[in-house]
This record gives sequence, C-alpha cells and structure tokens, in this order.
Amino acid sequence: MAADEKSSSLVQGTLHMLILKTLALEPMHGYGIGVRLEQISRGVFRVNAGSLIPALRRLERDGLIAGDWRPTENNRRGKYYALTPRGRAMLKRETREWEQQTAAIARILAASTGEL
Amino acid sequence: MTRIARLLAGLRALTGRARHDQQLDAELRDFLERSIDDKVRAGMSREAAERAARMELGSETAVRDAVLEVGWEHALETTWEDARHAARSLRRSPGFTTVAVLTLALGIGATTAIFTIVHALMLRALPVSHPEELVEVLSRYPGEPRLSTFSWRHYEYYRDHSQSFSDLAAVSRDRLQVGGDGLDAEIVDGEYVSGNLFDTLRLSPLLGRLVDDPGRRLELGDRGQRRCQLVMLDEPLPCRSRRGRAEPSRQRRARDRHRRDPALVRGAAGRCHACGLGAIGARTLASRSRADERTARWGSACWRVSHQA
Repeated sequence: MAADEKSSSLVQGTLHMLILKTLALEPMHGYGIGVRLEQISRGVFRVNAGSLIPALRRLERDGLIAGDWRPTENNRRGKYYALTPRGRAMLKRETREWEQQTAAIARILAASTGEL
Repeated sequence: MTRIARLLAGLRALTGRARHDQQLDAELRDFLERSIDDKVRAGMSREAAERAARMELGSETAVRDAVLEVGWEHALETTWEDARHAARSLRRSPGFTTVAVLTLALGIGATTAIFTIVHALMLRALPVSHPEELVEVLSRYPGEPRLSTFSWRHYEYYRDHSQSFSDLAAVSRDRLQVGGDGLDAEIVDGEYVSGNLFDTLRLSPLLGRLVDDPGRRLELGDRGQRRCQLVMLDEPLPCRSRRGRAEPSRQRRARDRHRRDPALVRGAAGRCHACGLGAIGARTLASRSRADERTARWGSACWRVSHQA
C-alpha cells in the first residue's frame, strides 16, 4: 500500500522518462530499474511491478527500448532492457521539455508581487 | 514509425500469444525472485522475504492484465472472447435467441423502411440538372383545400405569362396501355406530360429523340382515340410475355424497334421522378384530345426558377 502511494506521487507521464534515463546509464532488468529509481531519488520514488512492467512493455512496443533475455548470476533467465537510438533521442527531447516546464513552474512559484 | 512498430508488435503478440505469456510469467518470476534475494541479503528470513516481496508485487493477475492492456490486440482478443461467450449463451437458450433475432430483424426492417421513405422524399435530390431550381405550383381558393391540379388552359396561361420562371411543364398521371409487335399490351402507370417537360428538367434520352419543338401539339390517332404519337418509356419498364414473365428477347426486340422508329423514345438520363411523383412506366407527350385538354385536370405544374427572377 505504501509502495502504491509512493509510486502514485510520481508526476503523471514522467515514469517513461525516468525509465529511459535509468537505462541510459546502463542496460538493466526490470527489478533493477525499480531499485535504481528508488536509490537515485533517495527513497522518494518506489515503483511497483504493476506500474513498471506495463511501462517497460509500452516503451518496448514503441521501439524506445529493446529487451534481451540473458542468463543471470543465479542460473535463471532475466530480461535486460537497453535504450535504442530512438529512445535516446526521445529522452533528449523529453528532458529538454521537462527542464523548460520545471523552470517555468519554478519562476511562477518564486514570483512575488513586486516582480509583476 | 511508432505506429508501425506498435502494429507489428500487436501482430506478433496475436500470433505468438503462448510465447508472450511465458515470457511475461518468466519476467514476473524473475522480478519476484530478485526482490526476495534482495530482502534476504538485507537480513530477512526467506519466508518473511517471500511474503514481503509478494505483497510489494501485488496481484500477479492484475499485473498481467495491465501488461496485456498495453497492446491494441487486447481489445481485439476481448471482443472475440465476448463474441464467443455471447454465441455460447445464445446457443444454450434458443427461445431467447429467437425473440432477440426477431426483435432485431423487425427493428432493423422498420428502421430501413422508414429511412427509405425519408430518403426518397426528403434527402435524395431529383436526378435532374439543378434540382434546387425546381418548384411545384399549388393553388388554393378561400375555404377550399390546397390543390396541385390545373386545367390545360390555366397551364398555358401561366406558361406564357410567367416572368419569374424560365420554364413551366405540366404532368398528369394516368394508366396507359403499352404494346407493340411481338409484345403483349400492358397497362402501366404513366404520365401525360407537356412537350417541354424534358427541357424543363434538362433530361436527354438514352435512345431515340425527344420532341423537336417542345411547344407543338401532336395529332390524335384514328377515330379520336387517345393513341399516343410519342411515347417515352422509362428504362425499367419490363416487356412481358403472355405468361406475365419478363423476357429478355422481347425486351431486346422492343429496344430494336425503338431504335428503328424515331417517334419512340426510350429512357431518359436516369429515372425521371417528375415533380416527386415517383418512377413512372411510360410518358406520352401532349397527346390528349382537345376536349380532354379543356376538362382534364393536370396533375402538377413543375416550374424552373429563372435566374433572372
């Protein structure tokens, strides 16, 4: 329940961008992506499997990431995801838009009566 | 590009559903086991770690459904499943099925019939040039119902003295006897029309010719019979044998005769629905007797609005 609450606190539409950014660092399996997001956000974002795996499937279908089945260290098979060139271009574009939007929001929040 | 990728991925999922399900199961299992391993490494017992990992993962079915809903093919699959379920249910209860099918058939039939009428009367334009310029003239005397009939003399007066309309044609419905060599005489729905009807409607014949001088009167036949000098046959008019069956060879013969005899005109460009009177089997051109002309009430007067009006 707590995990759900935390994952829902993600700004809507940003999960795809965060997954792309995580995979831009290195190829990773689904569980690793969730852990990495939690680590980098210092525990603020915890994404459960119910949100993460459908998001990965959607990105894979759109050709932004590519999945590859590999043997794991425990002799199991795990699906590792990597960013595709299209995914890299998409991440670049979304990062730029996000920075513009957050900068604008920050300016609005910092505005005072004297500046207007 | 993204759309094509999605389309191809959906087709692959449709054709390899079992393999996709296996891969999803494997991915979920890997996710769960990695979570358990992490928790065990953090100091939890194996049992506690499994319980905690399963709680974090939530319902596997819900996750599986969420993944399946990503693809467009999911809607296709669920629709197909719904259709199969409905078919099974209908097969189990034939009484309900019969009532449902009859209700649908009656409903669709009634709706189609009503729409056909509305389409014919209100939506479909007349198959003539500039149908929006055509108007039907009605007359009404104080205290009397509205009429759409005029005497021939009135028609002539209106035609010759009107300044707001470019043409005025007259139409009168009747039952006509149509026959000929090798053909049985047949009574068909027809119209007596003024010679300028086709000019007014701007129709051209498929075969033969129309009246050279739309204003001229045509002479009557022997003994004052109301025999037609000129006949225009609508294209759908069948030529029937004595047994009442339409015979293509007789139709061909009739058509050949129409070709030989320039006084017979067959068909106009499209079925002619003069003044909204509907499809008519045959038309005779201004061939009523003078006595008829004095007394007959003409069915309708069809006007074309003048551009100068």
